[in-house]
Amino acid sequence: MENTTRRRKATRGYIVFLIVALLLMTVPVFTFADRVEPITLGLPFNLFWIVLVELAAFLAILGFYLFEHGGGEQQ
Amino acid sequence: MSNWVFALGAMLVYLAFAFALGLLAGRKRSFWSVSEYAVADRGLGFIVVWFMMGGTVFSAFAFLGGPGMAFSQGAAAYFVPAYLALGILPWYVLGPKVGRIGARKNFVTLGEFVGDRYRSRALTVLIGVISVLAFIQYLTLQIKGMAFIFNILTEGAIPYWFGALLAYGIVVVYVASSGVRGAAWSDVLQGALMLIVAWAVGFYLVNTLHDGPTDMFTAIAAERPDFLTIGRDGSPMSSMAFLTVIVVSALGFLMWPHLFTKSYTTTEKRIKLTTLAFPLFGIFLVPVLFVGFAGIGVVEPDALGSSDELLPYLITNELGASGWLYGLIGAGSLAAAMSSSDAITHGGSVSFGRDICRALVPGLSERAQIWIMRLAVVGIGAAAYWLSIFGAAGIIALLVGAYGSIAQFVPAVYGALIWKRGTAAGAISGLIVGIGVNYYYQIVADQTLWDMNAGFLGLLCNLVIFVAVSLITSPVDESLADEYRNA
Repeated sequence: MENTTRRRKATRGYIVFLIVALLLMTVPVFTFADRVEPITLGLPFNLFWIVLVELAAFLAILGFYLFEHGGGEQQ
Repeated sequence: MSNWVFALGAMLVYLAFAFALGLLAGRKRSFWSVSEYAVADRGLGFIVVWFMMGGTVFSAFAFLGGPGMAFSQGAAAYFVPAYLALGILPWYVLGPKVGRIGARKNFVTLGEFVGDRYRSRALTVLIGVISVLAFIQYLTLQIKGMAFIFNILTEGAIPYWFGALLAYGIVVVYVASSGVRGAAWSDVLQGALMLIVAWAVGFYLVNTLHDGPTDMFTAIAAERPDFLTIGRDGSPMSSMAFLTVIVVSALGFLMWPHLFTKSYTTTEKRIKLTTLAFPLFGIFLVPVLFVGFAGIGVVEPDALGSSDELLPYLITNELGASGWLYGLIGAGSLAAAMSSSDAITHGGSVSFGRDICRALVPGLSERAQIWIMRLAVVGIGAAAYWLSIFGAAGIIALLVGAYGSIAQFVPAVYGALIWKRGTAAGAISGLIVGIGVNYYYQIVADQTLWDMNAGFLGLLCNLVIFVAVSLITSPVDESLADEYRNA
């Protein structure tokens, strides 16, 4: 039972995460990052921003995965 | 030895490896099982799933279209790394649910999933037909890519028709014989190869033609200030177009049946771990865009027949490139095109066998289904090959329409998982309206409303009709709806 509650909670959290990731990568939030300067790590700032959001998304999903399956006690 | 001989040699060595691996993958597996052919008995390992999803998604578009887009449309190309990552993210939630339902009910396609939930065989067949048409269009693009690469890197020694026949013929043979396992295992080789090549070429070009990426981007921004931004006066893409294309991709990407059905091939944990890798895949694509940006100021746009020809043009004209580079790029781009073609050809054959043939003739034996699917590989392959070499304007418009229609499955699929009131009449009418609107804005009209993406407009109309019609028709059994919602 505890397994299912955990899963439900994670699913809800994950949907919120998806919406946040979308907003960060497109309008409206992306609009604020949408400039060329400063060129960061060789990338225009807006492209660097997308790379940054993708890295954050990777870490977020890792968090979700560990939350759901990290304990090792559930299958 | 001249460059093109080197290139040809490298491409042939690569093709031989891919062929052998694809054939070996199906060894000692049951040749007569639909479940094995379609979904590898639901037991693929993590590394294979990872490369299969990655390789499938990363198509000829990445090597030819992506650089071309960066070259001609600047910041609009940023949507490529963004949509690739976002498009797969919903799989974390969607995949395990679909996988559980599929294992319980023995599904191998998207059409079966939707058709069962809405109790409608018509819906299954409709989805099957749209899928097969869209697959043929997708394949045509890949085959053209392969033919083009072969032709240009061998400096015309291998004609267009023969290069396509050689590369795609190999795909058809290993998919027909080894099923999804053939496609998956060859994708491991292809995925690894193209990632290495993409990075090597991206950085090589940036550093040879410019003094590194910072210098390159500074020069572009100085020359054309708004080219590298979205939604300014001189920008290549408006904010609305950027937003809507990413939304459609994020929701609709997994509706491609060859991706959706991968939910059936493995376990919940492996689906989640694969999703985890996708944001990184988006980042891997950034150096591919470098290829396009590197061409700005170096290549005159008029020198290219189409912007897709940028990478081969740079290699053959601007760099006195070594034979090694020729070979590497040839093999890498073939890998990208083939790793998508195999999954698409396979997906098309499964959709044809189950969603169309089995739905129309329910009593079909397993052996007959297997034969239909394996023959469909050859049939779909031949159709796509013929279209990509000879073309046919009328059919092509139809196929482009089908290609853009895949995202219109969204309301029916997500509706199945969250909404118990959804009905077959709602799903079918929504789908038809969505496809109609998309087709109109994509092919007939010159401009879309508020510069929104055609698929997005279709999806809005689709959703409204789906909900409205569902509410006035009688719902399916509550226990059935709950089985889907609570999976």
